[in-house]
Amino acid sequence: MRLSVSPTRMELLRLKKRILLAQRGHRLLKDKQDELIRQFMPLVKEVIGLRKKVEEGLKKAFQSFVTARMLIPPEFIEEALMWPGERITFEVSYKYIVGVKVPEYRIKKEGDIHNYGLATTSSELDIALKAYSDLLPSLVKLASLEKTLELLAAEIERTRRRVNALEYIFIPNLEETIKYITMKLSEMERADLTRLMRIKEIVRAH
Amino acid sequence: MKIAIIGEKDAILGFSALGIETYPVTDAKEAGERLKNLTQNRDYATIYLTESLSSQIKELITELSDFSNIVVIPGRGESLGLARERLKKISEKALGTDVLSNEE
Repeated sequence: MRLSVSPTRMELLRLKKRILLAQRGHRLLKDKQDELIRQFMPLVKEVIGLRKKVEEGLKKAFQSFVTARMLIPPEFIEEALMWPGERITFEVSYKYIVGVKVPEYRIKKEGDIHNYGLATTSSELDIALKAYSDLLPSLVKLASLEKTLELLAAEIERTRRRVNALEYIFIPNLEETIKYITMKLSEMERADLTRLMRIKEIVRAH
Repeated sequence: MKIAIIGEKDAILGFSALGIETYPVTDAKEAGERLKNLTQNRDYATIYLTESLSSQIKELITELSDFSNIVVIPGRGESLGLARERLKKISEKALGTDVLSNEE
């Protein structure tokens, strides 16, 4: 589609500048997109692996927890778990991957999870809680990686959209308009020339 | 910042000893309400949600994950593959193809 501009020499110069800028922007965005995808691929693999690990771990932890519940009366379990023995401090920091702000979580564990009476609980509960506690770092890492992946995906999509808009719409439009203006200008030049020639002929005839 | 977990009581009880805030719910509707509350209260950096509940409130999760980081985990053991599905969607969105299925 041709842009609606008047076919003048000024406009032509302006458009030529714009097309250079657009091409440069296109190249940069394309590089950004490639880099984003390059970062994205290994991350996907890492998330898949980590998720598998976490899901297996959760399954095991839950199973041992169920065993513990079978052996210990529910009110004792609730009593044992009522006061969390382990405190976690959770910190969020951010880093940038190709201009995308992604979260990084850090946790610090304090205290002992086995802070309940030995008389009312059995060792299965200890095992289950240990399993949960061991799983926590992976769980937190999974959370941050999945978020990162999500953010990267959104950015990749946005960048691709812009790359495509420049490549298939904006730059072709500019090219077409430039072509139109050059044609129009040379047409005007030819018209001028023939007019001059004709006038000269008339003048000479007198 | 804090971590919260929403799920069926027996599935998440084990987490309460770890210093994670647990919110036991009974059905998906309640879980959705709770999720809304927790995301509004910007204190929670990550909210874990059990798979069995999340399958019914998928839209809500996508909507709210702009505000907080919602991670779906299998509750009572077996994974329903919901998280994988979400991952698949993300990679399709980003790359145009599904890179996961040829991983097997």
